Amino acid sequence: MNLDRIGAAAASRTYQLRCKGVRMLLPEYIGSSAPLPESIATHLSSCLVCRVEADRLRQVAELLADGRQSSWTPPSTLVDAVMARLDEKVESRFMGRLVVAGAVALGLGVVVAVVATKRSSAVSTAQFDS
Amino acid sequence: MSLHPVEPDKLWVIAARGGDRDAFRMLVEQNQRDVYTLAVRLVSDCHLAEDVAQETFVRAWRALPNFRGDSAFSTWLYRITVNTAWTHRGRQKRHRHADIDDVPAIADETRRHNPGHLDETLHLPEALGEALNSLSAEQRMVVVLKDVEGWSHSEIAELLDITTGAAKVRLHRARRRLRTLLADVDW
Repeated sequence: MNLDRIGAAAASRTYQLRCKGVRMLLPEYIGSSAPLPESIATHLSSCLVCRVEADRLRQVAELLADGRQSSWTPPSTLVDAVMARLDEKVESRFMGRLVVAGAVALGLGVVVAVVATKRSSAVSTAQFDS
Repeated sequence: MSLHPVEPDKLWVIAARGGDRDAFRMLVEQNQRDVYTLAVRLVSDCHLAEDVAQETFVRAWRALPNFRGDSAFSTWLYRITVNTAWTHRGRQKRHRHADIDDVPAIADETRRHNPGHLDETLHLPEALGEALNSLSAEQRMVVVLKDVEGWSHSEIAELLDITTGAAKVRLHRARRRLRTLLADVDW
């Protein structure tokens, strides 16, 4: 869906919009700063059903914008919880690195042991064959 | 030579960048309401919003040395809040106890019989809160950022790492979905 293209088409005076097209485009314009294309405005002036739809969308947009004024009180423990997590994070990151380093060392040790075992077994077999 | 007044936030930011935890605590205290409010709007769940707010400040603490002060500290914090909410979106649950807008619960029975719409006995303000909760996390985020917070399409696109066109389409679909959900509501 290319809204810019559809919007540009709607802006054209020659484009005759029907209800379905108007309702598809209304959410793009109602509640936004974009000017309502003339073709849509013309349609709204003559179509009560679409006008009601536009009014409802406008109400929704206004309610959403009103939400900007309201705020929620954070839990009283938020600040302390944040400060405690600053310390925890440092510790857990350090511990995390320690665990990773340990795992890598262990993995390397296993690989070395396996390779060494295979080599010694290969040498023994070669000596036995000769 | 005249002295220019320095915003209190800036002094705390400078101190906090140097590792001063008391200064950072002041910043948390000063900004906690705005951060928490935005988090509630974005995730529609007070408990999850608390997690998002905490995580936001922890991330801010870690990123403070990189904060260059090109924008206001509160703006920078807002962006971290949105990013954090975005990364938490997978944990968002469909819930009935949303404190957002004090929305009353809707019986599951009603939803089962009428899955595409909300309870017709609800009035618009309450129903809008419920409808917002019914949107996907991605759709709710663009609606909140654009229609409540007043962000531009390009700002939303940059934050969500999508094109401006994609942001417009997502917003358009979200608004239409909202309208569909509100179809049977008492206006």
